Amino acid sequence: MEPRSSGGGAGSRIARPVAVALALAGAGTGLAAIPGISTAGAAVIYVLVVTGASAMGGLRAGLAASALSFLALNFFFTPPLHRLTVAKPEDLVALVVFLVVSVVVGTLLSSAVAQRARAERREREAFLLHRLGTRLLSGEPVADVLESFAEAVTELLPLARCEIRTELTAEPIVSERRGAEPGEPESIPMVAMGREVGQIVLSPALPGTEISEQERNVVQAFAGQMGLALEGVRQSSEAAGARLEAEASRLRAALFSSVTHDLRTPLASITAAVTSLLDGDPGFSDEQRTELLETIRHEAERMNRLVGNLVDLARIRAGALVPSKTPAAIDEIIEGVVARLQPLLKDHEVMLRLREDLPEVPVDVVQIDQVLTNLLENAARFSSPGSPIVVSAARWQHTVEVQVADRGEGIPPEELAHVFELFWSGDESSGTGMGLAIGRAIVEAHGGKIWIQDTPGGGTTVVFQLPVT
Amino acid sequence: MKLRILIVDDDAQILRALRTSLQGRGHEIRTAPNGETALEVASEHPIDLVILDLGLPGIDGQEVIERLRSWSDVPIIVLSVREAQEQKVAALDAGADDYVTKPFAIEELLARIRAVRRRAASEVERSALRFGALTVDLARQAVAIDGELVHLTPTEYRLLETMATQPGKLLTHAWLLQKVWGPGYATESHYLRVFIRQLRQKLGDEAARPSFIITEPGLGYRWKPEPDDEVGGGGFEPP
Repeated sequence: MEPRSSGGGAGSRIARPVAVALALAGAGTGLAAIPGISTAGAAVIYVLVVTGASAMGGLRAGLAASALSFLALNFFFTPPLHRLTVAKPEDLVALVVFLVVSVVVGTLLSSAVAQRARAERREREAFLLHRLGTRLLSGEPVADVLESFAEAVTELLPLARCEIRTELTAEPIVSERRGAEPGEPESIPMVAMGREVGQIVLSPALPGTEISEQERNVVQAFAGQMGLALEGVRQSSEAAGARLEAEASRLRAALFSSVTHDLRTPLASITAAVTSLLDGDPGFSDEQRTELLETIRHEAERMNRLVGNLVDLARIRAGALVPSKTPAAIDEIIEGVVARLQPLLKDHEVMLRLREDLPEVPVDVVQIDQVLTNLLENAARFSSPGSPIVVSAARWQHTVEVQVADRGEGIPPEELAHVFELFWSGDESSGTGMGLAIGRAIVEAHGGKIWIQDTPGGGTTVVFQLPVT
Repeated sequence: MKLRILIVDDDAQILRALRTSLQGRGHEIRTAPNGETALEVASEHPIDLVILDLGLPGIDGQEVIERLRSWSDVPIIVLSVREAQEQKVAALDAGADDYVTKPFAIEELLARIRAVRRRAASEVERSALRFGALTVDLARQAVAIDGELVHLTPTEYRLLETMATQPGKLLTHAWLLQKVWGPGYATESHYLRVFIRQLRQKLGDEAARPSFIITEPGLGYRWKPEPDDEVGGGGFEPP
């Protein structure tokens, strides 16, 4: 379509039907000119032309085709030929009847076609609106929903450009038809409960044109619906924000009290043991003295593990838990952790079942060490002295899978969903529930998975998988 | 063996604790609260060993190592924290001899000090090393446990000898591979894992409760025991 300064729309509204009518009338004339076809036959062919033009080009095309057919029939098929006069009265009657029939047929047909197109369009519009509403309420990102909506509107009307501005998205959402030169943009407000929540800015598909009344009506209907839906989204996200804030402050409070508690507990033991020794009471046996010193050492190590978790926790909360990966052998990390935790695990029989064919895995050695430390510490804490703890590692598809299995009491099914949450702890008295939450954050930061299953015969098994590549 | 040790840390309490512990073992201690002072002290006084915290105010530990190394090969043990694996590796690359992770047990630090001193002092040539029940006969290239010969392949023996003659010291993957397999094998760390596993098996060593080989995940290995002082003659009589 060529750019025109004005009236392009009107031109197009006449040029296209006339072109359709001309093409069909020409084709009809060619067909009727086949030797042996009577004037009556030719008239039937022209009825076909009018029908076709009405169906394809609408009312204008139908009327144009009627007029053209009437002239052609007169000119080519009624004597005297090649003149626009009629010799016999009955031919004149026939021509007039033809004209009336063709105009009626054209009018009815084109209005039926137009009605159907309108119905289809309404159906598409209704579907679009319905889907928009559903998607906005489904929690999908608003920007995604608006973007596909803008695309659908651009396609449906069609438009050169559709822009949606709302306070819910930082940037306006824009959909553009490739290669189209936009006409005069028009802004339609989206209003909900008397408040403007945004605008839809439309640019018609023809340069120099304006949005038609019909297009405006369609988009206004959309704008009303969308305003309500967006207002709903805004309110529910405000509510969610308030909930999150409440949750975050609950977590902060839990963190504070739990960390304070967990740091003070070993400090209390240490202080008690140290002051006992400093007191210089000569009544201690060597054995008692050693026991006090061992207590100090164990509690200091416990504090150190806690601090390790706190560092990771701080990183998680700062979004800075980025593993610095180097290829490492998981079995060696396991062996290192088990060796280091010997004092903590001394009451348990720790069995290692590490496959010899384990591939190296790109991991942050310190972080995976921390995961294993937490899992072993939990296993030791939640299973009775003397019971075995089995650590196994094997290749599983494209991962290395590690399992830490204890023979403790297991986790009740209703609590399984919570154990990976921060500060959930099966036993209120035994400290923070940081271990598993941090373990999960680390494993997931490595692109892996972690879950809990029952140990056959009773107990808890924590399984995690780390991708090999 | 009395050593002149320079301890560099910005924390007064750890300086005090280390000074007391090490002085109690007969060493002569100097301290520095930062890198600048440390370099000054090291250039003005004879020092046998530097214990250096990596997280220092002003010029950091890494730079202290680099500057020290430009004119001195005094053994350096760095003090690092668990989270600073990369920092640790960088320090070792820059010429630090070993590291201890804070918090550490004093025996761990003492073992490191002995290990790096052993390297610094020209090792007395010995024909055999004894680690409790384990004897490594360097002259005959043979290994026995409780007098019973352990059959090792030549590579296994080379690996064992390489480690056992560097007790307590961190032996990185790349270093061991180069030393035992030769240049060009520095990245083939799975070879090393396989042979370490075989060695452990033959020595009856358990990775989770090691008596001989300690794993330093992601870094390398350490030979755990220190040799018994008195090793008579050729070590053990071949059967």
